[in-house]
Amino acid sequence: MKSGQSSAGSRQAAFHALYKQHSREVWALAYARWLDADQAQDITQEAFLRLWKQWETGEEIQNPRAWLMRVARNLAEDYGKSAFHRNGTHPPQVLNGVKGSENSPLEKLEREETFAQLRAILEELSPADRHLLTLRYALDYDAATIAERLDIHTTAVHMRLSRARQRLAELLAAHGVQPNL
Amino acid sequence: MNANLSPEADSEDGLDRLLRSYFQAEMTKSKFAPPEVAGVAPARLPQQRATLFRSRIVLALSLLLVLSGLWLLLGNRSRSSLPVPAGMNNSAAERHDPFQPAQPARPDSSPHR
Repeated sequence: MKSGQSSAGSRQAAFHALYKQHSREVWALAYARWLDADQAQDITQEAFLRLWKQWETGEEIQNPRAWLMRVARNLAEDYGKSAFHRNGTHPPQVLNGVKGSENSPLEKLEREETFAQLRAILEELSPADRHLLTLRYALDYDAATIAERLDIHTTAVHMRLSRARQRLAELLAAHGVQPNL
Repeated sequence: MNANLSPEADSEDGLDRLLRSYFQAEMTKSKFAPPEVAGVAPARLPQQRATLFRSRIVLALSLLLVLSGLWLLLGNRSRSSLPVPAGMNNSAAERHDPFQPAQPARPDSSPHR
């Protein structure tokens, strides 16, 4: 009985360690797909919950990171097929650029508006480029780490990052958004 | 040229700062806490196992039924085709074949005799 409890405890510890290690990357993948932080969080939680359930069935997962990324990618795609997303509905903070209904200071409002414009512009980029940018700016990964994570060459990372930034700069200029905050 | 190829190596420009603050703000919206798994058991597994067990039982029972039916059938047939002791029942020899034309009755005395 005691050994059963301790094995369950060690499994939970391993699960928490895995979460700490990979949750942000799973989040980044889901976020890059739909640019929705809440949805990305839900997808991350669901992916990890499924991993836990898989463990409970006794099935071994050889590469948990790859498994999690695959599940998160599928979940993100499923989300795209759902009626909610098909109808083109966005959460209010995306539409307004204002989070909640509380009165915000002018600076915060401007910042939120700029972010909303940036989000709209990011939607024009490919999911792959958004993933790259999320890894670079959200997780603060350098090119070598991104290359390792995406299994591509570092030069390709530099090239794609450069192109994505260039395209972003053009789109921001076209929409009249000043990049300086 | 080099600045474009390695953005992280250079000092941040306005776009970098904007992107960084945007993505960091998006990340901070999410609370990175592992899902509660203490009481989470594989929800469908016991049910799946029960269903599997039940279907196997049903399969075994139906197989048993089919086999016993076959056995009964074969048993009856083999009993009916057992060799009959001579003289007890000559029905096979005397059985009338409806597809054979009726034989005319022969006279008792032969003309060649």
